[in-house]
Order: sequence, then structure tokens, then C-alpha cells
Amino acid sequence: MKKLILFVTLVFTMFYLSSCGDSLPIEEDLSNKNYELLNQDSVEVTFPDVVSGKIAIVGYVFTNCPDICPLTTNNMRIIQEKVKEEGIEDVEFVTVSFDPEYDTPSVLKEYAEIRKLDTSNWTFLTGEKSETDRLIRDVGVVAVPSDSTEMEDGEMMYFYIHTDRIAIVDQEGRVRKNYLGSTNHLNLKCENCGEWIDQNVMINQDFVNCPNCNHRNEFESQLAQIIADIKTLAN
Amino acid sequence: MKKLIIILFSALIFFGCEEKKELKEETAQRVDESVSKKEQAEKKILLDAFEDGLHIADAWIRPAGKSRNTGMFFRVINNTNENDTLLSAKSELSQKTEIHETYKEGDMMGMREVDHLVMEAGNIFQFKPMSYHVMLIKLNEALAEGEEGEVTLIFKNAGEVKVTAKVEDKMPTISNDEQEEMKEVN
Repeated sequence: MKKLILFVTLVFTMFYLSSCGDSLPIEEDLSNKNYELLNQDSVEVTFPDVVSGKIAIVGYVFTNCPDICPLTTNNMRIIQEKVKEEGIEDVEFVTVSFDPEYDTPSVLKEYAEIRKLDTSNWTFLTGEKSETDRLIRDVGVVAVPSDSTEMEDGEMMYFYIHTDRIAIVDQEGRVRKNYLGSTNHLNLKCENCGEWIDQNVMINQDFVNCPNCNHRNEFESQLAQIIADIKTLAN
Repeated sequence: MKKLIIILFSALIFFGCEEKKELKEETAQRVDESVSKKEQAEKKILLDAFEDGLHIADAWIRPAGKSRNTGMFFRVINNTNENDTLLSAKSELSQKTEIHETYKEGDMMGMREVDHLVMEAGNIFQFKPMSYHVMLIKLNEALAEGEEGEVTLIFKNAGEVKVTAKVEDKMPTISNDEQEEMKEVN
């Protein structure tokens, strides 16, 4: 009996140590999956093959979203600029629409153009709803029409409640980490007065002034974490 | 004896948890009070910067393509002694114009229409990213960065207030110098 307990303890210890050592565990393996989609130029592509061999930063949006999704897109632009500035190669950016009936390739193209996004390494994906639904379900993104409004011509406009997410996918097509898409949620104790600071901050923000004592608390921004994770996967 | 030990142990856990809960609530209350104190100080500076009356400041619209939706963000400075109510909004920019709020449920984000919003007397109401906004549904023409757009806000007391907003792809403002950037637009 003692031997059995010792064996079980050892197995658990090894399992615990091995999972702790990996800062980027595999969240979802898409390497053997193929999603037949269309890019912003209406070209048929297969995801994740379209970014195979490269690290991909993937965001999930619908273009009719006026508030959250533009922030997610803007954050991806910030990451793209930082990647370029740091000289990190072989990083691709992918935006997947979970509202493909509205977000046709031309709509996605216009969405990128009006925001002056650099599409040299940024692909926007749409396609059959069944296919985009399969993709977002597999990666654990939820997007459900919630509120709606009726237009004068009787057309119903639906607004989605959805997961707020940016993900990093490795060169093999495996999701390695998920981040909040629109803002970074901060929950830290002020190092001066000890009060909890609980608020959303921008992804490139690396300090916050305590609302209680105005002390400047510095921390690693989400942008810095994402760049560090990209570098980890690149090496 | 065993039963007694179990009861004592359970009681310890229970009271320990209760104490933790109280401490957490107390801390949250203290943070709320401190945030409120800072906000009040900021509000006073901003209110002092404006004349009496209801003012709209710092209005901007996110760029979007034709037939798409977008949001307008701004601040309402109610420098009067009476509460006012934002009843609706209208604009030639879009087929429909509504007052919306962004909300969070776990790691999910969504938005929904709100019927009206009360602008408290002597206070500032912020329409900002991740919060309230005027939703421009199905734009009649694309709105590109650098352009301007006009929206009319309809208040119960102040009546129709025309707002000219710049089209910009802004991130939420976090700067402590926010008030310095504010410009009155009407």
C-alpha cells in the first residue's frame, strides 16, 4: 500500500512539474483540422494551413460591432507594429469573422482599408457559416446573436454577444495561449498603500496610478507578454 | 469524539470564510470610495472649465464602411442645477441611430439598446469605448478617418443639441491629462 501511495505521489509530482515548466501549453490542436474559408480577396484558403510554418496572432470579430471588435483589431495592429519594430520574422495576423453572412470578403477588405491596416501579413477570413461556426467552436469562442433592431425595410440587424479574444497559434497550427482581445484586465495591489486596483487597461499600458494614493504601479503590459510569447515560439 | 472534531473543523472553515468575505467587501468599499474621491476631484476641474448649461465635448466617431455600423463617443457636461435626460439621437449619417451600452458577462462582451439616460445635474456623463455610445446603424456613406459627421442628441430639457464629431480610430483614453485634450464642439 505504501508503495502505491509513493508511486501515485511521484506520478502527480512529475505531472505537476512538467505542466509548470511549459509556459505555453497546447490549448487546442488544429494541426489536423482544415477549415475551408475565403480571404478578403475572395480567394479560397484553408485555415490553419494558410499560416502554416508561421506564428499566427488570431482575432475573432464581426465588422458590425462598433465598440469591442474595433479595439481588438486596433490591438492586433499594435502587436503587428511591435513585431515589425522588434524585427521578429514569420509572424502572420488573422482576423476571423463569426458573422460571415454580413462579413463577405469585400466587407472585410473595406474594413481593413478604412482602418489603413497593413495587410501584407494580415489575412481576413470568412466563408460558409457552418465552417466559421465549426472553427470558432473548436477554439472555444462563443458568438451568439443577442440584441437586435429592425430596419425601416424590415431587415433585422443582430448584435452578437461574443468572447473577447486574441489567440496565439504556433507554426504547427496549435493554439498556445488566449488573451483578452479588447483590453487587458488588471487586478493588482498597490505597492504603496495596498489597495486593490481592479480595472481594464489598454494592452500596451504598463503602469497605472493608484486611485487611492496616486502611486505609479508598473507592471508588464499584455503587449509585452504577447511579444515575449511570440519570441518563445519563434526560438 | 470524531463528530465533535468534524463540527469544530467545519465551524473554523465557515467562520474563516465569512471573515475573508467581510474583509473583501470592506476592501472593495474602500477602493470604491477612493475612486469616487478622485473622480469627484476630476469632475470639479472639468465642470469649472465650462460655462453654465449643457455641453457636449470631445466627440468622435470610429471609421466604418458604407452600410456598416459604428459608434459615436463623447462627454455630456451638465453644468446646470437640474437633471436632464438623453431621450434619443438622430443623424443623416445612418439609417438608424440608437443609444447603446456595451456590457460584459464573464469573458463575453455584447451591446444592447438603452431607452434613455439621465445626465445628473452638476455632473459629467461619459460615452466612451467599452461603455455607452451612440450607435450609427447602417451608414449611408463610409466614414473615413479625418472626416466629420453630425449627430443630433435629443434631451428632455436642453432639447436638440447638434454635435459635430471627428472620425478617428481612437483607443480608450487613459491619460491623466484627459481634461487638457477636451474641446467644446458646440
